[in-house]
Parts: sequence; structure tokens; C-alpha cells
Amino acid sequence: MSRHIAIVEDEAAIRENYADAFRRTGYRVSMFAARREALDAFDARLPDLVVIDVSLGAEPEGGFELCRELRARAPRLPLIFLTARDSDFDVVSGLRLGADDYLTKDISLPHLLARIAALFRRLEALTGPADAQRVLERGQLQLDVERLEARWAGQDPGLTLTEFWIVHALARHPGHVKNRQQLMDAAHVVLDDATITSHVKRIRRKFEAIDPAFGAIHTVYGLGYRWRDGAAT
Amino acid sequence: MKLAGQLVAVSAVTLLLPWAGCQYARDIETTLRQGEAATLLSTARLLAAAVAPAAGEFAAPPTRWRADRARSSDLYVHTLPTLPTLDGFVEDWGPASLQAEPHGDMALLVARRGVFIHVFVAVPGTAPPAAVSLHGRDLRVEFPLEAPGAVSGIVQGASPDPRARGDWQATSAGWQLEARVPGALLEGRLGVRLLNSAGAVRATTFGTIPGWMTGPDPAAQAALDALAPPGQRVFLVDRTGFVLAEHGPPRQSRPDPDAGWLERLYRRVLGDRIEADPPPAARPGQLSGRHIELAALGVSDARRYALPGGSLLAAAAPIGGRQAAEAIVVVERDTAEILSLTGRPTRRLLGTSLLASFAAAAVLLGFAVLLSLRIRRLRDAAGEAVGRRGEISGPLPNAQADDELGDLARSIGGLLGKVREHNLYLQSLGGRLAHELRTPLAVVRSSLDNLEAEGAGEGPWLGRARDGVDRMGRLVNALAAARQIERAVTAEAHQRFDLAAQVGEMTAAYQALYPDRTFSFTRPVASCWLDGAPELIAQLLDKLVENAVAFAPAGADIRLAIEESGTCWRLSVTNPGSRLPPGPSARLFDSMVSERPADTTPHLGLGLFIVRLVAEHHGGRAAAHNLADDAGVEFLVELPKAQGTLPGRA
Repeated sequence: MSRHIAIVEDEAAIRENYADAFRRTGYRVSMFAARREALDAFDARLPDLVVIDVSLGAEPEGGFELCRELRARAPRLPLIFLTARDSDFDVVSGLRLGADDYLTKDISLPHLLARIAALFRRLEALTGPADAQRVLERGQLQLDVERLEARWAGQDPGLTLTEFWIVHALARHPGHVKNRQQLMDAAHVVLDDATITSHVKRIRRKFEAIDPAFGAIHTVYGLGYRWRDGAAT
Repeated sequence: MKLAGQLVAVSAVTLLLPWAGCQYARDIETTLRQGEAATLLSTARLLAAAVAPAAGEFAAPPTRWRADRARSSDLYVHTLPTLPTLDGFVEDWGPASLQAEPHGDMALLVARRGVFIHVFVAVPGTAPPAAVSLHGRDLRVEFPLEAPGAVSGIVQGASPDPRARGDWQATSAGWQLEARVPGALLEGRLGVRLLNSAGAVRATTFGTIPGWMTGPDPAAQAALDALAPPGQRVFLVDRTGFVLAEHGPPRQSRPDPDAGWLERLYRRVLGDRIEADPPPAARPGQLSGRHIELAALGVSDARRYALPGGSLLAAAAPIGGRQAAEAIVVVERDTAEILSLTGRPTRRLLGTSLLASFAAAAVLLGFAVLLSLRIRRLRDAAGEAVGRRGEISGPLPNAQADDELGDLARSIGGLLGKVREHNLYLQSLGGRLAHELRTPLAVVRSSLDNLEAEGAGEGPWLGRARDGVDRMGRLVNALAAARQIERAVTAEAHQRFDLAAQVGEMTAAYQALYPDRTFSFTRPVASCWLDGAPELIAQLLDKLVENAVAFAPAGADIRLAIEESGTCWRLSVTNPGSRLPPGPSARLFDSMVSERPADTTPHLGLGLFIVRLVAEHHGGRAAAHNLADDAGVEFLVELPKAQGTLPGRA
């Protein structure tokens, strides 16, 4: 049975374009223009994944509200935010809405499809047994590449997909400096340098929330970042 | 002219106060003087009326005043205090003021001592005549001048009279004769004739018809002494002003010794010019002036004469007939005491009003200083209200004030408020534009993706459209980035770190990153402690180096340096091979300003904008200038040193 994706987006052209691409890939798609409408439909049946625009018609931050309500109903439902504003990243992060990813609308359709596929893969992996082989361990860090799940000292810092891939790219080769372009490629996003910097900052904050002494991500000025293996206590 | 100066100039108007005081004092003075003149005049009239009954005893007979008589031959007979020696010289006649008076070519002096009339005659510049003839009313006495020395008078050319004697001398100036004649011979008249050896009259003659001799009259003196009030200076004179009797203290003319500078100033400005006639010319024994002339015509008069060092008030009243006075009573008073009477109040008035003027000027000056201080503060505040990035600082001073300055401050404040709103609008415009543009861009992009996926992407057009969209996307990102960076900069946490260590580390990284350029780094020996965000400083240096690399040719030497400059660290990045465009270099550090030559990649000039933001966030500043000799460009960032205790060297 094919996966069911819901798109909540007030801009009809974008909605249709995304829907076309998803259908072509083989997903079933439902489209909603407003929060109320979407919630009513989700009452009847939850989709397998939801793509939400932050601003929904008359509600400039209706997407956040929808996300909160959906999380309350289905804690494991994959959620992707799409936004036209960079500043929303900080809001999402600050609200700790539990979205699996947030992307600007700049993202290309193939990249978006890749992310959706990744999220579905994770969903499958979560239902299957954990496989120690697939887990990358670096000191206190554990990265489950199948489940796209990160743990620090056994706790989940709640990384988004983009953040997970950045951490993964760094931690796979400890000591190697990754510049910003390499991190962007690893995360399948097109971002400017400042946004990468703020992503890294957010990642640090999330780890520091678990371990205030976290210092594994080291800034190499002028070049990029590297993972300092064993440097963390 | 500054406001203070203007107000001081205006306060000069208060000098009208002392001026008005002077005018007032002058009015008082005039009134007092008029009153004094009237008093003096009535004194003169009363005296004249009192003396009138005795006038017959001393008044000259009416024949003397006949209209066809020449007054010029009238002489005044002085009274000699002692008997002089007959020696041909006049110097022993008594008071030094007794000098021979010029009458035509002749110098004459006549005086009485007892029954004798002494006559002194000198004619400078001529040879002595054969004889000098003195004419009385009926008789004449001749003095033949033979050898210098004593001569005897010959009455009527025949009989020598032993009582008439003389002495003549030849002098360097000519000759002179001193003679003594019994008054009875002359009978109150005198004419002088010079005779040559043939007995003919020489041209030089005094009184062809012998003139009248007038002198102090005992009867007149007695009348005056009996009637004149004590302390007053009173004269009895005849119509020509010859003094018949004099009573009271003599004239004195000397400056008031008490006069302070204020009073002298007052006198100078106003006092001595008050209705004063020029001083009358007078010969010894004769009073003159307009009051005498008027009284001689029968009109009483009082007037004031300016004398050196004071003024003289004189009143004259005729005695006798209305048409022709038999004699005249003259009362005089030195009026210095009037001035000193009004002087003290005047001094006080002048002093007080001048003081008030200066006080008013001082108060106005203080007020002006206060006012211009307020205006200056408002001006400075208004000038600094708009920062370099268009941000508006806090409220203006004076805005609470009730006056026009308060109005001004409020209206400037209103204006600044509008500017602030506009600036906020402009600052958010980029972000809002980017936000609005992203949605249609997403539509185009996703449509292109779909087209490609459906296999409709034949021909080069899809690729071109994608290129265009990508480029537009980058532009939109850059548009939003400026605002985002500002937010990011302010959110960054500060810590204390060694700037030199970080720059050194980064220089090595740049060398690896740009192998075709040479990097060098000069630093102070000691650590360069800085309170700031190392991330941001790294970003700043990234941008500077990026900029330098973009402008420097391959193989060029890019120099980084840290120097100590007062309380700042001066971080500089120098690259050869380019120069700044003309115009203000500060503009380089604004967003959306790029001086790079147009190339394929869009460039929005955000790099140097970030440099400036970071520098200002750290309380420093950024600048750029061309090197000497066109050797390249130096970008400078000054960052304040860390204050307080510094960690030991790492």
C-alpha cells in the first residue's frame, strides 16, 4: 500500500506542484489550504507524513499551531516544515515543536523527495529491530543511520533531519575539517554560510542541553568545523 | 553674531537708564539755576532800589554820557595802596595786576594816591618826543623830555608847578614816563599828547578831547557797604562797567576739589554747557558782559558765564532812569556750589543706574548663556540623533519645556520619529521582499522540477530557466541575509579570547584555502585579549580576506597585522593590486554596495557590511584607505581591548 502524504499549503501552485511530484513518485497525496480543513480530515484518518507551510492564509503562524496539535495526537508522525522565512528556523527551534525537519521553499523537488524517502526509511527502521552494526559510535555519541536517530550519553537531543546529517558528516571522520559547502551537500540543502553557522550553533545548543560540557564540534576558523573525538568528557 | 553677543548688545539699551538720570539731573540743575538767577536778579534790583537815593553822590554828571562823546578815551583810575617812587617804572605801583593798558599806540596806566593822580605813559618802538602833555578839563601840564631822569611839569606851557613831577626812561622798547599831577589840575579828565620840538602835536595822541577818569568812589563804597548783604559779591559800576565800589569776597575760580570722576564726567557731559555764555572780556577795574550792556540800557538781567573751572552767575540792575542808568548794581555768585549741591544726588543716581544697567546686562548675559546652552544641547542631540546606520537615539533634551525651544524640540522629535519609522520600514523591507519573493520563486522552481521529471526538458531552455531561478534565489537570500546577520550578531555571546592566536590560526587556514596567494601575519609579542565573539571575529576576518583575495592578483602577498593603538587593537588586512573607488570610504561598508567589477556571480556587497556590523558590535570601527604610492588597499578594524584583569599568557 502506497504511503499517504498530506500537504498543508495555502499557495495553490506550490501545493499542486508538490502533489504532482509526490504522485509521480508513487505516494498518495491529500491537499489542504487551511489548518481547520486539515485537522478535520486528520480526525478521520492520519496520513503517513505531513508537509506544512508555516504561514497559512490568514494565520501567519498557523503551521506552528497545526504542528502542535498533530504532535499531540500522533507523537511519531513525521512532520516537515516548509517556510519562506529564514527567521522561522529559530522560532521552530525555540518552540521545540518536534518537527522532523524544516526547510526553506528554495529546496529542489528531488532534494525534498530524498528527505521524504529518508523519513519513511526511518519510520520502517523504528518498527524493525535495532541493529548494532548500523550504529556509528564516537565517544558518547551514537548515530543510528537507519533510524536517523542521534543519542548523546544515551539521550536523544531531538535533532532534525538536516541537523542529523550535519552531525553525521562531521562525526563520520573525526578530526577532518568539513567546510560549509561539504556540510550543505551532506544535508542536501542549499543554504548560505550564515545559516550553516546558525545550524551548527543550534546543534551545539541541543547537545549542551544534555551535557553542558559538550565540546565535540570544534570551529576551525576560516575553514569550517571538525569533530573532536574523545575531547568531550 | 552669537546669541549671547546679541543679547549683550541689546542690554546696552539699559544704558538709557543713566542717560535718563542725567537728563533728569540736568532738568533739576536748570530749574535750580533759573531759581538762583531769579533770586540773584531780585537781590540786584532790591539793592539798586536801596542805593538809588544815594546815587546822586557818586553818579557822573549827565554830560558824560552825551551821545557825541567817544567812550574809548575814558580811563579807570586805580587806587594805589602805597606811594610809589617816581622812577619811570610802573612795577612799584602795588598789585601785580596793575599793568599799563594799551590805548591805541600808547600804553597808559592811571592811579590815584591821595590828592595826586599818577600817570604812566609808554610808547613802544618810538623815539621820545620833545615833551608829553597831560590835559585836564581846562588846564594842561607839559613834561619836556630832555635827558632821561626827573622832569618837572609846566602848567599851561608857562609856570612850572612843583607838585607836578615826573621821571622818564629810555628803554630797549622805546621810552616811558611816570608822572604825578595834582588831581585838582586835571579836574577828573585826562588826555595825553606827544609834542615835538616845535610844539606841534605828534600823531600819537590819547583823548583828543580829554576823557573822563572814573575810579573807586568813597561815597559809592559807603552806600554799598551800608546796604549790601554780607557774603555776597556786589559791585557798583557805572554805565561802562567801571567799578565804583566793590563789596564782598573776591572772585575765585578753581575746580571743585571734591569732584569725583563721576561728577567730572557729569560736568563734562552736561554741567558746564548749561546756558552759559562765553566768559566776558574785562580789564582791571571794569566789568563787562551782556548783563552790563543791558543794564546800561535800563534793563535788569541775570546770566551765567562759563569760567575755567566753574561758572559765574551775574545779575545787573540799573539805578535810576529807565532809559539811562545812573549806575548799575551787579551781584555775582560763583555757581560751583550749585553743582556740588546737586552733585551728590547726581552721583548716587548715576552710580545706582549704572549699577542697575550692569546688573541687567549681567542677567541678560546669563540668560543668553543659558538659552544658547539649551539650543546647543538641542542642536547636538538632533545632530547625533540619527546614527550612521539610520538608527534614532533616545528623546531630545528640552522636550518638556513650555517655551518655543520645547516646541522646537518636540517638532524635531516628531520629525525624527517619522525618520525612525521610515528607517524601520527600510530595514524590514529587504526581509519582507525576500519573504514575498520566495513563494513565487518556489512555484517556478517546483514547476521546473516537475517539467524536468516529466521528461519535457528538451532543448537548452529548461537549463537556462533553472539558472535564472537559481540566481534569483541567491539574490533573494542575500537580500534577507543582511537583516538576518544583524540579528545573529546581536545574539552572539561574548567571551574573552586571544585575538592574535585566533588570527594566527586563521592565517594558516587561509594559506591552505588560497594556495596561490601568500599570507603573512605580524602580531605583538604579548597576547591580544579581547572581549567578544570569536565566531563573529572569524566571520569578519573571512570577509576581509575574501575581499582581499578577490582584488589581489594571483601570487600576491596579502598581509595581516595586529597592532596596539591606544585602547584598541588595530587589525589590518592589506592587499596589493587594487585601489578604492573615489568617494567616501564609509559607503563601502554599507550593505548592497559593491565596487567589484560586474561578473557572473551576483554580489551584493554584504561582506564589508558584515565587517562593519561586527566591528560596531564590539564597540570598534572599520575603515579602508589606499596605501601610499598606489601600492594597494588597507582595510582596518579597530577593536577595543579587554578591560580589567587579564588572564595570564596561555
